[in-house]
Amino acid sequence: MNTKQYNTCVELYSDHLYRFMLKNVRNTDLAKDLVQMAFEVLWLNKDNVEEEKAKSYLFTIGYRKMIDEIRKQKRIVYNEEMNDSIGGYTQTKSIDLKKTLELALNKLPDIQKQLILLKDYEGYSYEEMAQLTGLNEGQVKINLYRARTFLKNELISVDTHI
Amino acid sequence: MAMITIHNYETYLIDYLHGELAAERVDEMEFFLQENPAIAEEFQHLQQTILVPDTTIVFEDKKSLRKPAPSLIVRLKPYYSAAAIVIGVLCFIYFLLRKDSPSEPLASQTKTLLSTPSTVNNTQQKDPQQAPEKIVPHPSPALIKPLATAQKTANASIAKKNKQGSPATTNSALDIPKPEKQIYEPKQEQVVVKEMPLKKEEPIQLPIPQNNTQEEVQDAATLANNIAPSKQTIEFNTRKQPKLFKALAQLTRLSRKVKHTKEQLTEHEYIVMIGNTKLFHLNNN
Repeated sequence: MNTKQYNTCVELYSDHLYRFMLKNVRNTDLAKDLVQMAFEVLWLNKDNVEEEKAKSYLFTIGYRKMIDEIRKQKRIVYNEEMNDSIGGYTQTKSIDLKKTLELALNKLPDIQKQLILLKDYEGYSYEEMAQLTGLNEGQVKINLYRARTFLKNELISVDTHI
Repeated sequence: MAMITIHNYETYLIDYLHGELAAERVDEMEFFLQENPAIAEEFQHLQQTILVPDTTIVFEDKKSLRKPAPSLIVRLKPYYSAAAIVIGVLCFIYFLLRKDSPSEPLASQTKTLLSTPSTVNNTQQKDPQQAPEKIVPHPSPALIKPLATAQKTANASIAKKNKQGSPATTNSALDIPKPEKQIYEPKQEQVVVKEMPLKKEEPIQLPIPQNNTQEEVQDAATLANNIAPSKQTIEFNTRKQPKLFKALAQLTRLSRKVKHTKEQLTEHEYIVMIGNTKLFHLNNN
């Protein structure tokens, strides 16, 4: 990959990667840092990465960096943020399917959330998700199944609550 | 393969939701959902859990991620640049004046003279009697004397030939010495390239000679594939194929080099400087 192709990758994939990071870490600065780091690694290895595989490479690097960061910070701050927003939701009773879904998404275990985002945002296949996360395809399927069931139940419970 | 039932449908349903269900199972699943409205409703709830990417979330600082194309600075030395500019201007003026000067016919005449051998050869083959008339140049005043001298010499040689019983004609006033036939006539063993009647999508078939290297054969085959869309069939004289193959291989290598160079050129941006003064800046992006 040459400089021009790298810059094309910036245009094509930076938004996708940022969205994925932001949804996972829920911190704009950290998400931006992770995107920067992923692209920096891509730049350093651009000679060894083909343009067609750049997206997968970026997500793999970004995912690993994100896991490292999450482990470092232990998500204390984010859990507080999440609880606040849920509280706000129950008090105001503002019914918005999208918001409900996002709140439910944040209740999911990290791995399930990541898989849901990879599937829905980026359209990754089971195989690709397995490669990215280091799980096998069976584990990917099970986690996705549990995540979907949980999200579905959350939506149903909100409907009945109203 | 197990049927989709009320007891095992979950995994199939999730696969169906994610578009990962095997193609042969899709119809079965759709039929199953029709037969089981409760599960169809469950499927609708599951469909609602699919997230839609929020396109309003964008990474705004893309500029920080982009990398500048590597710059190549072409630094010209001031004295050399000035000298080059002066020489260029002088050359331009010289050619401009030369174009208007009466010496132009001389130049065109020289061209005519240079081009005559092939003309002579061709015309003489067709009609030897008309050939001298066709090649009569139009001499400029500057050439009258030298041409008159040449004419005398030519006439003398013709006279000599006539004395010896040569069949050469003498009706031309400016008969230029006839060039040697061996130089211009095509050799019998030369490579023959024929353009054959076109056939639909017929690939070019080049017989592979034994004494070429593998690389040369591959290059030639690549070239043949590249020119295939022109729908032309090329036949080569078998005696000269190795040379042709070498030429084709060399051509392919050259085209590769050109392609590679082009890629490199488009990747860089260029800054042309005279001394420390920036003259212009070319940016391919």
